[in-house]
Amino acid sequence: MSHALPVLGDVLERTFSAEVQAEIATLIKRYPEAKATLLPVLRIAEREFGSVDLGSMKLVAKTLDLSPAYVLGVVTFYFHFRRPTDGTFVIEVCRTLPCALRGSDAFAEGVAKKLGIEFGGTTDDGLFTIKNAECLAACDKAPVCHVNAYSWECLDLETFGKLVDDIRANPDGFDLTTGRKTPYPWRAAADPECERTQPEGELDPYYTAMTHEPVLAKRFFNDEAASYEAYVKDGGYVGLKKALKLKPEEVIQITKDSGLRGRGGAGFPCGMKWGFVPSVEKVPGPRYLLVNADESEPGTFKDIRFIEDDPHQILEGAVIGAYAIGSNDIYIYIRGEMRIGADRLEVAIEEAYKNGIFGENALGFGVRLDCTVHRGAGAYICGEETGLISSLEGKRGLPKLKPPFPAVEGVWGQPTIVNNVETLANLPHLFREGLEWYTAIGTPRVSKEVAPPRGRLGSQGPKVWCVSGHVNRPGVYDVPFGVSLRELIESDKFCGGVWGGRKLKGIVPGGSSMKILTNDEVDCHLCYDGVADAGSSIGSAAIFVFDETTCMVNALYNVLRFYDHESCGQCTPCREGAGWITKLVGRILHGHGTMDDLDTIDKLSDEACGKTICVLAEAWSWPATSYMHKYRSEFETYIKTGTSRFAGRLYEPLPSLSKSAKA
Amino acid sequence: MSETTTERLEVPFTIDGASYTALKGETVLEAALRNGYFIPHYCWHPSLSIAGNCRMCLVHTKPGPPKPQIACNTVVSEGMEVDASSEKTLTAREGILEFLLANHPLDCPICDQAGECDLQQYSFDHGRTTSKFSEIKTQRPRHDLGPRIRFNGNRCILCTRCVRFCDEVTGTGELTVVNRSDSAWIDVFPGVPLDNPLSGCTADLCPVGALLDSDWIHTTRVWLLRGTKSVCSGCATGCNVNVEAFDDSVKRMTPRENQPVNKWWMCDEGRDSHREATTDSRLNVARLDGQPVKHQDALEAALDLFSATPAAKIAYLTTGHATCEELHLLETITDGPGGVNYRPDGGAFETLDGFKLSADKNPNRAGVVAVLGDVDAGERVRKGIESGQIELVVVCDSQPGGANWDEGLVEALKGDVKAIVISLEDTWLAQTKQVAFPGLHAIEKDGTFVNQNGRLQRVRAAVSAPGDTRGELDVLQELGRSAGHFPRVLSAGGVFRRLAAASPDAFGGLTYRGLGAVGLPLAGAADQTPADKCQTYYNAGPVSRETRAQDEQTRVAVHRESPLGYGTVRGNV
Repeated sequence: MSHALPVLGDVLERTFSAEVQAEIATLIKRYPEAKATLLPVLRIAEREFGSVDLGSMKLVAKTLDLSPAYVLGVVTFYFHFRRPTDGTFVIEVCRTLPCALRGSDAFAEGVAKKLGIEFGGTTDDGLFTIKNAECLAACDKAPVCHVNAYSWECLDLETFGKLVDDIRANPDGFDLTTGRKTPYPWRAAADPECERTQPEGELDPYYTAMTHEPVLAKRFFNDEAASYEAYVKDGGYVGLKKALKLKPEEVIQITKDSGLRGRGGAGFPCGMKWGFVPSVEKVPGPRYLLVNADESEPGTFKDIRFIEDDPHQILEGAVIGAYAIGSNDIYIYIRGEMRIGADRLEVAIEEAYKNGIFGENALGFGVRLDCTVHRGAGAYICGEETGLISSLEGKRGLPKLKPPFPAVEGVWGQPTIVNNVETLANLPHLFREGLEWYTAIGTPRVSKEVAPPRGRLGSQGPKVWCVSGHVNRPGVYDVPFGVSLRELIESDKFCGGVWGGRKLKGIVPGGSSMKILTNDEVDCHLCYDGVADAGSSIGSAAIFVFDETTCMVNALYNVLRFYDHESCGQCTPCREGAGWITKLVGRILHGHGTMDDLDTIDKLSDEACGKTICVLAEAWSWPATSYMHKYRSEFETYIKTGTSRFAGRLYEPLPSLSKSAKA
Repeated sequence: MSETTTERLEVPFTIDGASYTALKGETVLEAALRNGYFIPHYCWHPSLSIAGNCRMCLVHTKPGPPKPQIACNTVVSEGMEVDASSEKTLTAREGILEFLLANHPLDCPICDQAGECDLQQYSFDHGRTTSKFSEIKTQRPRHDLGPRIRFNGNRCILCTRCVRFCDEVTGTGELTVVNRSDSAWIDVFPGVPLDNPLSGCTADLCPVGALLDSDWIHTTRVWLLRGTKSVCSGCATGCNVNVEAFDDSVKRMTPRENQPVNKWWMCDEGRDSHREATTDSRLNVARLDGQPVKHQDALEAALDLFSATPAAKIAYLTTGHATCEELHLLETITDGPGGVNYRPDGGAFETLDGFKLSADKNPNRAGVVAVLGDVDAGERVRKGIESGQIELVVVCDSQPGGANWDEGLVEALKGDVKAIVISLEDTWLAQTKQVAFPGLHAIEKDGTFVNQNGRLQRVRAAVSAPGDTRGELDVLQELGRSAGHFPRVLSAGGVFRRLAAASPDAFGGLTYRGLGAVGLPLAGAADQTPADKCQTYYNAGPVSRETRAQDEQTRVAVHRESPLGYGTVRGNV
């Protein structure tokens, strides 16, 4: 592990031109504090000077009246800024587990070989730099890489070689935006055959009406559909108009009644969250609605589809949310890596301004409503509610202490609601189609009298799932809650089974931080309560599948390496524990493990869980303990023999794939 | 009065079953510390914002969630039951310490913080004897953060006290955390070092050996240091300090908490002020007509001179560094006019939390006003000398570097007028005038100073003076005794009693012993904080090291049994 400061260049004297200064001045007007523009202004400096070096940091510090050390601290927290040593084209290869399950390790080796440099290095001609990247939200199209933050998907070494050659041939004019692919547009799911009937008598908490047309994902994978006109033509902004006829309290009540739970991971009821915002009499001043588009949980690639393919769906939901909580300012915090997404959101917001959705007299109400896209810069922890708030405030993205909770004292000390993209995308449908229609989708709420194990809140409304890993048809699925997890994976209507006819070894049902479910446990219902009863959680709905050849030690190391890298370093147990457990599993992986190490994994997890500000400690503890316990014999064999039966590889590649890799 | 009582509603709660009361809105940690119940903590400090990152103060609370809460961010509610010592709480604490020590180099034998290190202390109190850690330790850099502060990244526990200090107290923002996860460390922006007037406080705040004062490191083990509760003589702020010495030589000065005076802080200049006592230019021998002589010989000559001159023909000259007792003696034994020299103004600094580093570099200017009333810079003395009215001048110059008298006065003094000089420095007066005695520096003498806000505070001798130095009090009293002013030579406390009797307006009702560690306000002073309001929380000083034994008793060295059974260790209780 390298523990030096990244190369940050010299402290050169730099200045912003008058135009750029004007640009920054306009930017500052969009935020209550100039400090909040730190990340955007650093992006501007990156654009102007080619990288974020010490000179540009000093200039930015001066521009925003911050101390240079503060800016240095912020820049080194985020990994997505260009460094002075970077080549013209920065190629970031995703190495996180879902990509690794589809061959990114071999691909990355090939990339390094093709360019003749190590990861982190730059080619002699100064054209290419290759870096390891964390999940790039295209797990279904693995292996993927970003070239200057533009996604290149479904790669193999052949196509990558061609890409490099093409760029070399035409470095100035090459169009980087052409790398996106839509190989598996599985947006539909409904099938009458899957229909079930509610059993008579006792209420089945997992009952779901399976007749379900795609709702959220209906307009995905169609570049034409992203425009305002197309959205309105498809019934867009009708829900908003209906919502605006109601009082804000009624909007909150309907959202409460709808059973809509947060789609970001924790599943907290959305309406209840809104209800926590205190009245203006109690806490005067502005309210803020933040849209969490910082989708970074490994294996999750649903939000990027909303952002790129149907941005108006998010905007409509966000406006409904802003209306409900009385906010005049919406900030969409989007991952720094999602360059195309940010651009498309900008376009959509501009359209919305033109059409009177936003502006000084928004929606004809005579009130101001503004919406701003705020790009992050490569830090997983900024997807955490309060980490996001810190980052938006222009700080290191450290999660904040709770209490105070954001709904009372959030961004800039004002009441703040942070909603996931998909949560907000539910709202237009809820308000357009009505409560009855909405609550008919998914598994019902069960009244408190029935008191099933955990079935009280239910899982209602449409839901998008991301399936990746060792399946025949990875992709985005708009399938209602309640479907059996095994059915989703094995049915030909959905994912088409484990690839290569292999057996299923395990499924991670909700992003890499969730506990794994073994082959025996996957007959659960895919809803908040069903997966919880099976001992895990649907988290961010990122499902990835391990086939029987997967080496769990290797898989665990990959997961832990990610969380070690992404721990913000604030709380002792997580900062030290994540590094410790990663080193420990790495040692097992290199054949130097002992049986005591397995107990240590348990103890470390136990000592870190529940003792930190946010739940990142849980995010590495849960996979560590669940992989280790559920596949303990495999860990023991690895420790005894010093290797796995796959010679330390993550999985045995499919014959067809290895052929193409060789070719 | 009724308003303040309603604001300070008391909330009953319990810690480990024992009943306490908290003030409304107080956190569990604050309430516990205020009640004298110590909950271990690193990142929390009363002067800084709550970071909540060290997780050391985890406690279980009822009502509260099942997982442990950090005491520093949990507000006490009525009837709350805090569990700070059950097995599950202690296990959580052990776990945190094990994490903290995972990548820690455990280099206590060569670490300067050893002996006053909270990591050591808590490991001893709460930690496990073994660690599960068997990996390679993460290496983080070691470098100088500024001219004064040296950083050792491997020892750092990233509590961010130092960063918050620079952001929230000095407002200079030199420090930051760079990188993230366990490869994060504290750093400065290249070319912008940690160089603010209070930079030394970051080392005080550091609970471990990560930030160390490079002025002090590698000199003494802390358990050998003897602390003396005194007052810094660097400026009119009058920061309360611990003058820490070993082998009769001051090794460092660290601040003591005194809210109305210096909060928890002191400036770097003040930290270095003890060096004024060890300069080569010091006068460390008595002189008679410029020639070094034994003290007794010089004293006899001085007594002759003094008794041969009528009191009305004796004037005195002194400086803003003289203690109130010296000023009182000077005024008592002479009847002629007096003059006071002040050091010129220096740099002032005010922190965001209201600590004012004074531009006035004289520790006792307010004392001069209180004791002597209206005195000038020596104009009347000059006129007296020139007119022949004054025949003898008693010069009491404890100003480091020597007083800088007005030109006219210097010319007058160069004449035939006789002088008895008590001087810290070997000045031209000491070398050329009839009799000269070596004076004492503030770290060597007892007495009182009045700070800029009218607070009367005690300076205490921490080390002995070089050579055969008897000091101002002794010489002045001998002179006064020969003239029949006093029956015997008294200690500083005795002189103060006389002073208080002589100037009841300013000093009435004050006793030397009653001044204690934090001083008392003079009548009519701007700062009227009573002594019991000067310190905030039990064991939450400016310096983590203030929690250590050496501050508990001043200058009382005792021998106690070593816990390891290797005989006795010398140290303070």
